[in-house]
Amino acid sequence: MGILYAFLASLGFCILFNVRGSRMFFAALGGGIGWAVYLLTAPLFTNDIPQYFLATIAIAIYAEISARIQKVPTSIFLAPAFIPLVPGGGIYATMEACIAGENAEFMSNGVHTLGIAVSLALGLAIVSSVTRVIRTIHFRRRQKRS
Amino acid sequence: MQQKDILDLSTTIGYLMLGHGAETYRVEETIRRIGEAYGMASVDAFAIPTSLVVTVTDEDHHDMTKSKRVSHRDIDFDKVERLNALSRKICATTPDAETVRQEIDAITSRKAYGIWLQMLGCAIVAFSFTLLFGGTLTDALFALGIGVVLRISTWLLGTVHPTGFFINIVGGAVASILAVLAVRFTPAEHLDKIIIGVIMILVPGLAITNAMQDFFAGDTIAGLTKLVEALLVATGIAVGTALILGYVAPMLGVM
Repeated sequence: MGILYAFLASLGFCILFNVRGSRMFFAALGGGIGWAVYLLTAPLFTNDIPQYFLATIAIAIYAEISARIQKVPTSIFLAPAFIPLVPGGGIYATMEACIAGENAEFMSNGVHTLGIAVSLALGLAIVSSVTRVIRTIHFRRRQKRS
Repeated sequence: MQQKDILDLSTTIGYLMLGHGAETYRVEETIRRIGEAYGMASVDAFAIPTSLVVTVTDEDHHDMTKSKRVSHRDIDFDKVERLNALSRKICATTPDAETVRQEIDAITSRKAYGIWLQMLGCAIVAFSFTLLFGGTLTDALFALGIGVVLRISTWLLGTVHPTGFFINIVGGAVASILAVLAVRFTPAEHLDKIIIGVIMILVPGLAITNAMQDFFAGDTIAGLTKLVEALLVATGIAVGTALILGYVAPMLGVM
């Protein structure tokens, strides 16, 4: 069910980001895929940070491929699909502990949320760096041929 | 085409892409490709989220520079996509200036989804996130209603041009106070799930993804700007929510 909710959440964001036509469906599908990876990798790790990392990588690869196929900017698929992974719950828990004055809770929630954010950032960074290399190689080959 | 027109058109296309949420490297690359397609010897484009500078140099070393201040930004992927397609077309067929101007006008006059559809979008987002984070169906239905109210209130607030930070404080506060009331007086159960579900609407997802892409593409200043923007939005939401949860919720006996 989580996958369906993530799909719907991404679909809602397609409206807010003014994504049109069939791309709405494909962008929302990315959200579903991300959450599916997040759930499927759960048994492999004892904490959720690597799950977020792998889910981000899956979404980023999916977005790059979809963007190539449909010849549109990557962000159109990446941004809506990425949103379900943003640690809203962690930010909330951190803030809640802060108001309640529970410093230990505040620190542990804060560090955990930061860890998730860093793993999301690393996932995006790795895929976009690799994509750049692939693009350069592809471009050079094409130049040689012509 | 004259150098002046080349500069003007490439800058306009880049400016629009930047203002509607395209990545920095894409904006710079688009401007460079358009300039080169029309035979400029070199094109230098520098973009950060708030400003754009373009210099085109022709074969005889005549320079021309134009700068644009980006003061209003929104996210409109439909326009980004069409501008991107237009720039591909320009590079492939190098149409004359008048044709390009008409195409640009046609793109800028396209309407975004209206306020009703945006309200629907917010409703879907709040509803599904509340369920995703483990709320009950009742919680999700309240989140749906609060999501709609949140969009209406930010829309009304937007008419008086406040700072982004202020909008997010108000957004966080509106979401929290309605959630507190819902949990106090109706069968809705989970305060935290409702609030998180609703504030996901305000979360700066694009700013985060774009910031990361910019950093690793070498556009560090652009990346920093967007990262700070994302942090400010997150802080604004947290402040708005904290005000309600810290002062109003205890008065009503919730929390």
